[in-house]
Amino acid sequence: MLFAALFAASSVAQFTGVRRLRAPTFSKEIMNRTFATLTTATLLAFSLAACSTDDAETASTEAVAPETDMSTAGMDAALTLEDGWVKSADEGMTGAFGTLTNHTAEDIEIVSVEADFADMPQLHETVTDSAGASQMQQVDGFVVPAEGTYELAPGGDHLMLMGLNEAVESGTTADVTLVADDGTEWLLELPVREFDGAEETYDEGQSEMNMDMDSDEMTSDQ
Amino acid sequence: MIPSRPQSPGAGPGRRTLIGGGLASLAAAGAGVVVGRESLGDQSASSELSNSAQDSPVPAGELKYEFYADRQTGVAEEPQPYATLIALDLKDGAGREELQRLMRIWTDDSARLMSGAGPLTDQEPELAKRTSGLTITVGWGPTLFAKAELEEVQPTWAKPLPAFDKDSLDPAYVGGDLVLQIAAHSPMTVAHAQQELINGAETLVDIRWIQTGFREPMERNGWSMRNLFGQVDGTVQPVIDGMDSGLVWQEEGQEPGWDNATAMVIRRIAMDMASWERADRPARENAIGRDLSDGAPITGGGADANADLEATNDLGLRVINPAAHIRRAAAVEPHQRFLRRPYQFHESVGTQMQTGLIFIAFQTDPVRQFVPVQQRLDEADLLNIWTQAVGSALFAILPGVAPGGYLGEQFLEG
Repeated sequence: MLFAALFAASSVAQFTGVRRLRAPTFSKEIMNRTFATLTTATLLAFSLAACSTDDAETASTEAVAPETDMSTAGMDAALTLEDGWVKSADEGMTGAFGTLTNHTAEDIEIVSVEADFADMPQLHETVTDSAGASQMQQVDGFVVPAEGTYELAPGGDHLMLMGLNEAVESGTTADVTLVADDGTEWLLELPVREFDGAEETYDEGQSEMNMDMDSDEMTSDQ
Repeated sequence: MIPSRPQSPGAGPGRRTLIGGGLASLAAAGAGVVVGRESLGDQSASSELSNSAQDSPVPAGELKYEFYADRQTGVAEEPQPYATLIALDLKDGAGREELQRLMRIWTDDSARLMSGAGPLTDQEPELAKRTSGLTITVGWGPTLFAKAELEEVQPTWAKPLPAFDKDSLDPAYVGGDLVLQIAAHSPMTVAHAQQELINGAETLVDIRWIQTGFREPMERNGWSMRNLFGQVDGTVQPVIDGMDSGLVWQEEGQEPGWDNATAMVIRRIAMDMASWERADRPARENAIGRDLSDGAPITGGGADANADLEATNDLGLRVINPAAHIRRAAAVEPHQRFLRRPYQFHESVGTQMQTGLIFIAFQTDPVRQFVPVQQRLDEADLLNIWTQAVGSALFAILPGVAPGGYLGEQFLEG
């Protein structure tokens, strides 16, 4: 967890202007750089992380402050994704999961998701229909309550990544961007894992139905 | 196998320790060194086991070992009562890239499981909460290096063991590209960790063999255990944190990148219970050279006493039979010793039971340490009447890793 917190102060200059959520993954290079950039912001980020992460060192995906503007570091830790991950898939579609955690006193509304490897990324919720079956449907946004969390889980609400244009392989990482209603973006670097569950999410018939439905919704929204 | 010098493996304060609390855990994680309850409290160089779970105020179910450290766990820790060993092969066509992905996954999963959190994809995280002293140990087999284009970093000793005449090897229990050793004080903890580690790697590896073993969970004898022949095994061990550390852990300069690695020998040894039943107690004690009641050498002294291999009886015959196990297994050179961490197996096959020992030994160089001893036992050992090796494998247990890294990273990056 200490490591995760140190990551919060790591500087990623090329993402200036974009708040970067980054899973503390496997790069020693980045770790070393992190130790070289210890600042007050680190301590702030650490204290925030300490509230919400568990023992696993790689458990937390932390906001990373742009190097050129350390004053925003505290704000950049506004949203974290704990234990975030993406299900591996060769083609078709997949999902991303984890616990969104809002460290601020204001609600944060996520209104869209973006990923280079998925042509049609969406925010989905899972509801139970009158027949008792799970149904997925696109939603306009996830509101992460002030000082609260919002669970993204198989069988529950999740980031739906449809129209894969490349394989998403286990043991690699996948970049996914969350966009808030005020335009703020968080780039997540999420570990990819094999997972046999979340089957309902990827059922072919279901997905076609949902995609049709989603398309309709998108049309009507616009 | 019972070497001749009575020593306990655990001694000094440098021993790997149990992590009792969050602060110790943090300190260990951040600094990449192992700091914990035992080493803080016990600075004496006692010959007693310093990390005995029995001595710990922490209930066995709550024991935790820190994954991120210089050395992997599951070697120097007092053997937990339950273990599963899994040998795996890279899928056909898989190579270095797939190995790298696998090591990243297993590193993260292992760290989480040992800390009490499930892996990211765990659908039964409640089963991960009770860590029960879980250790997960990862090693590479001799056949892996060519498949992953890593011949340049293959240690000289990381090659298949030589053939032994008395072995009757079942291919189902031989070799493997990779090994996972999962051990804990609870069989539930072991089973859950096994399930998770395999689930997360199904597209990368195929399982070659699985061996499940146990030791007496109700008696904490430290490193020794009774096997199902009733013998006390594992009394004599190298002092791995003291003078004999170099017998178990690779030291700087031996093999680049392999500091703090160790070599793991796994031998599946069938025990013929039916014919053992026909052997009387004196014959049994003669075969091993030890008293069955307490494991002491039949030449006298306590369990920890040195066997007097030269002692003779009234007739001028040697008290310890020329082919007694402890004589044949005794180190004739100081380096012919290794850390033994065996488990028993007792499994049903239809209406029959298969009984035996999963012999596990850790050493720096199996060619110098294990092989000459096994060659002597192969040549003559009274225990061979009742025992036979049916499985054999060797793995290079990777050095440990610091937070942010992954096992084998030094060989797989760039």
